[in-house]
Amino acid sequence: MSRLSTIRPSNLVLLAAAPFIIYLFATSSKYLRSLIAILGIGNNAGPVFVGFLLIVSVAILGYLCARHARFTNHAPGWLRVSALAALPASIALLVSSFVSPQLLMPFAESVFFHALSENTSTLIDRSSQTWVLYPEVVTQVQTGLQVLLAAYTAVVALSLMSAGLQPPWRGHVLLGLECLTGAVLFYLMFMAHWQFATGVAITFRAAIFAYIFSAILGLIWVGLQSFKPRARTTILYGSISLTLLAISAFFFMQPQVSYVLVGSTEGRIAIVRGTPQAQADIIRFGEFEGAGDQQYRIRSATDPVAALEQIETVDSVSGAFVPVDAHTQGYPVLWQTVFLPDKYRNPALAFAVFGFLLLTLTIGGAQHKLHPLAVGAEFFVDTIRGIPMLVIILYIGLPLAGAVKDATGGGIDMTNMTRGIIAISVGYSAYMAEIFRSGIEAIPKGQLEAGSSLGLSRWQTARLIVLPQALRIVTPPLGNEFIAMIKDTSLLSILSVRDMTQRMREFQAASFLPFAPFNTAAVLYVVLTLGCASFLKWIERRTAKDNR
Amino acid sequence: MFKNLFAAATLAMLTAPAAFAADLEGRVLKIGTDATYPPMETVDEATGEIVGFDVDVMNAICEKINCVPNFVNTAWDGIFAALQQGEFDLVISGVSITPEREQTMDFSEPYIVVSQAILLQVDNADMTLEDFKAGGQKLAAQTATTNAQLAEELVGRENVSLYDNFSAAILALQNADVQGVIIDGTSAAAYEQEFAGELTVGITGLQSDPLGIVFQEGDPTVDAINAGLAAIQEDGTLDTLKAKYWGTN
Repeated sequence: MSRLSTIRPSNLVLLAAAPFIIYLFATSSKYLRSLIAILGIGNNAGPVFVGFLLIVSVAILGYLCARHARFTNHAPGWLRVSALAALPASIALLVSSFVSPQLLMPFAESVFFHALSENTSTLIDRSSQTWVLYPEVVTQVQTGLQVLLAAYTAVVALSLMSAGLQPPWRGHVLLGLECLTGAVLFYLMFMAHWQFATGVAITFRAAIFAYIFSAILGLIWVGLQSFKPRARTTILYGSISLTLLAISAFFFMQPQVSYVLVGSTEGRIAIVRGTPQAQADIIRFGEFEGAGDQQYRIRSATDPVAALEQIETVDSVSGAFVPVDAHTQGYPVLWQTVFLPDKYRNPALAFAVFGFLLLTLTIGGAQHKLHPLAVGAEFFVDTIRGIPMLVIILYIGLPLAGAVKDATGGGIDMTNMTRGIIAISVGYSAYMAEIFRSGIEAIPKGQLEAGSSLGLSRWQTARLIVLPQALRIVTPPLGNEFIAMIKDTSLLSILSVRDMTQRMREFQAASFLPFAPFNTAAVLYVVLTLGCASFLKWIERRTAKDNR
Repeated sequence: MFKNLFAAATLAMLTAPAAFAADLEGRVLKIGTDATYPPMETVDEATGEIVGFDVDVMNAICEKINCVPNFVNTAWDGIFAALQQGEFDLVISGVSITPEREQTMDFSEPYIVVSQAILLQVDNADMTLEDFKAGGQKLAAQTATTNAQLAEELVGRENVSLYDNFSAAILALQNADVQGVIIDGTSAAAYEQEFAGELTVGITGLQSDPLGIVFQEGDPTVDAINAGLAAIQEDGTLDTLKAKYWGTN
């Protein structure tokens, strides 16, 4: 009864309603089907879930064991018990992976399968409709799982033994073990593929990661805004921006290449891959000299030689746009042009934009006695807050991520989920920055002066005096932002991320049910946000001061 | 030994499909689709796989030209932007071939021609096209589709409500927020069956749209897909599929 009285009122309402909701889901097939679709319960979910539960409970015990070892005395009773249970539990799990591998393998397999890049990996058997791992790969996964479990058992044993270590090693070893076991737990909860609840996992994880990143970014913007200009700031940043402009000019002065349009324009025109978009558009829209007043169809070719060959080999191709040197076949030349190749033009433009922007910030800062970076951070925050989240997600998810992919030669190819998380982080970091700023400005100036009179550096003042108090002030609005983020993850469906809302739409279309999917999604979102809100309230209570 | 080889070679030559050389060598094609459009593409509740007419067509084509389809479910709003960024190799999602789209993207040959229809509430089953053109009646459709363009032509932009998927448009019709939903006849039939006694395909044969498979401008893959498409048209697979989904067509 005493526990019941400490429950938050809004949770109490939900708890009171819970039996009815559960009854509804259990008795109505419409709602049950909606629930299965929106949660993203995949095939083979049962065995996968069992494996996940076993592994995650051992991971929790292992982490608690490492945590317990760091207490010299007065560890709580429950922690002591879990620490004792950790080693037997992990040994049992290790034994089970040898004795009955079918217990853990479904989960291990699904995690391994989804960690591969599905379109290029050579370990996947694509001969049937449902893709699976090759049998020999499955055997290797099983061996890998056994090795990992053995290693984990060793880690747990190590943390039990190292409790008796003497300083100076003790602290470092134990901290390392706690970080290691914590990382394993974090991976299982926030990174590993959850075959048994894909939709929830995506929504929840996107929100958590975006929250962490946006908080970090927000702190960076606030940090930049607190920069004070010194005597040489203007000269320094002015010269940096002029240097950037000079580099840009250097790239602009690089030798240009000469291309010719050869053949005839009756059919399609072969364009070599890597031809600048602007040139391809001139051809497509017939804006070159001697073009008829019409649009031309184009076709891609891998290299100039292939482009010229296509005139002969492909029926629909009658012309090609190739470098002058490649054209040795003597086709009639329709048009000749020179332009700066993309490898020079892109850096030239990029440096020009950055140089110009920095120059503007420097001049603006110098006029108002502000640091250029502070002006830049403020400009960023103002701009981002004025752009709808959907536009930010589309922009970062498609053109910007594509540009990064091109610039690194395909080296940085982020998944759609990562792109979405980055987009939400950038969008919300502006709001976060404003929240942090309000918290920091709530700290009386006298405390800063007191800090510097004690001989603390600016960084120490920030770390020891300002931030701890400011964070306490901004906890409620930060919780607000998190809940808003959970809801904004539903926008990620335009990047092919199948979160709960997207799954709701798909289910609605397939089942023709009007209201059950909506209601189910609403209930799930409420449970999710109330859970998070309660967690945030709990944090608030823990950090709250008595005198408030 | 030599004789056997020779015999095998002749046999192979005889059984080889005529005029058919496209081979993508087992390439995995990333295919964008908006699986909220029965019966073209939906997510199968039981398996979680994407199923439908488009999926079957693509699988049949891939069987012919040796490629592996990998369907990626994405919202219609960003589908062409993602295609042009190279996120997908192609898009098959009941996309109508239009001159505007052909300027920025490449289409395969049409694989089916559908005529658009208007879904009505049963109470208004006797409404005609003239009633809509007379004004005051609202039409719904999915954003950025040929259905939306046609709706605009019929009743003017201010009387068109656009939704991001058809389920929402149908809901709006059930609520009588709009008087009709413009939709491809193929899907209209599916909705009429599902909501028998509530919705009806009142007005048919509005405008015929050929549906095609969409590629980035200038992508050579289109030739291989066209060859595969020709092959399944030739051997009757495509007709079998159409019959499977729409009985007689």
